[in-house]
Amino acid sequence: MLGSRRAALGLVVIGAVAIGCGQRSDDAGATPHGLHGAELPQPRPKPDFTLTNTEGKPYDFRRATDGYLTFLFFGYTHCPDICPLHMANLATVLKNVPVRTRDRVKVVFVTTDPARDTGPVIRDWLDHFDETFVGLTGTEEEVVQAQRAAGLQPGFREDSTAEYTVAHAAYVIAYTPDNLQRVLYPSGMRQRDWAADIPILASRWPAK
Amino acid sequence: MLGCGGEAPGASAAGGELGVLSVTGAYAMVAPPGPTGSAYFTITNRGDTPDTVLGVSVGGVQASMHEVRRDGDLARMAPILPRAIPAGDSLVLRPGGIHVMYSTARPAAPGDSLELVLRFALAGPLRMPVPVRPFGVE
Repeated sequence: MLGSRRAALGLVVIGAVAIGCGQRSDDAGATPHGLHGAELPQPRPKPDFTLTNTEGKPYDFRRATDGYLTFLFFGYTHCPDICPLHMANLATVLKNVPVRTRDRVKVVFVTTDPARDTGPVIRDWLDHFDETFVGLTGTEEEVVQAQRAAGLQPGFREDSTAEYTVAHAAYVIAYTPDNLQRVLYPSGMRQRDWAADIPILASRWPAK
Repeated sequence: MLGCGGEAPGASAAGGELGVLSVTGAYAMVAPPGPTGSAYFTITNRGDTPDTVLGVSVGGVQASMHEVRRDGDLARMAPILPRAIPAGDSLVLRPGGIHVMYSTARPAAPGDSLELVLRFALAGPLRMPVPVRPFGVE
């Protein structure tokens, strides 16, 4: 009797572990705050850079995103999956958060391929995901400096063909409303992961 | 490993076979605004000799297969064909990992079907229709 009860308990435990992974849409992430991204051991301040937005105007990143939950992503429009997936997944999730939350979120895309990604090209690409996403470009040097300021290895062209691909850090960086970088989101994030994290990111560390 | 990589329930995927080779879980997506897209599937070699993927085409247009490799922070893409699949082994394509990158004359739409052709050194061409899914990973 005792043996079979322990065996049954063992099965229940194994079952719980097996189904704990991604089966429920609200499963919490693994970090101390229940997030699905990688929490930094020490939060970092926002990088200080000014680039050019898709209207051709200067965009001071710190000033423009002050107090907002900000998602910063360095990518390029000719990128086949990582970049559009991050943008598409974020856009879909943000369409479904309460307006009160949505109004306090900014998504900023910076190109790592300024040669091909002009303002109008970026605007056109971003509009397929969300017309409110900010797009930034600059000179090669400005874009490299911005990546370094954000704590990332700068991207670069991988080959010299016309259809070249660009190596780039594939993370979405999350800055909470108190203007600190707290989380890194790698490629592979799914809509359900963003949907679980955004309410926490938007409210846990409010703007000062 | 962040996230658990599970499939959304009801997501459409296709399969195909050619001798000891089988392709499962095949689907394509078109990154807005198109026509460039990506396709994913698993190729399993159930035979006892290796075979090699020589080339791939989607929708009648030659495509490429890339692998995303991490180099520090950076995601780097490198073409991987020709690629051998050892006996009893599988080659798994998934978003953010190995993927087929293709471009069709007109952008495909979710619900469309595109013909995928994988050319193997020994087995020859494996053809199968692949469903186009809406872009994104739920």
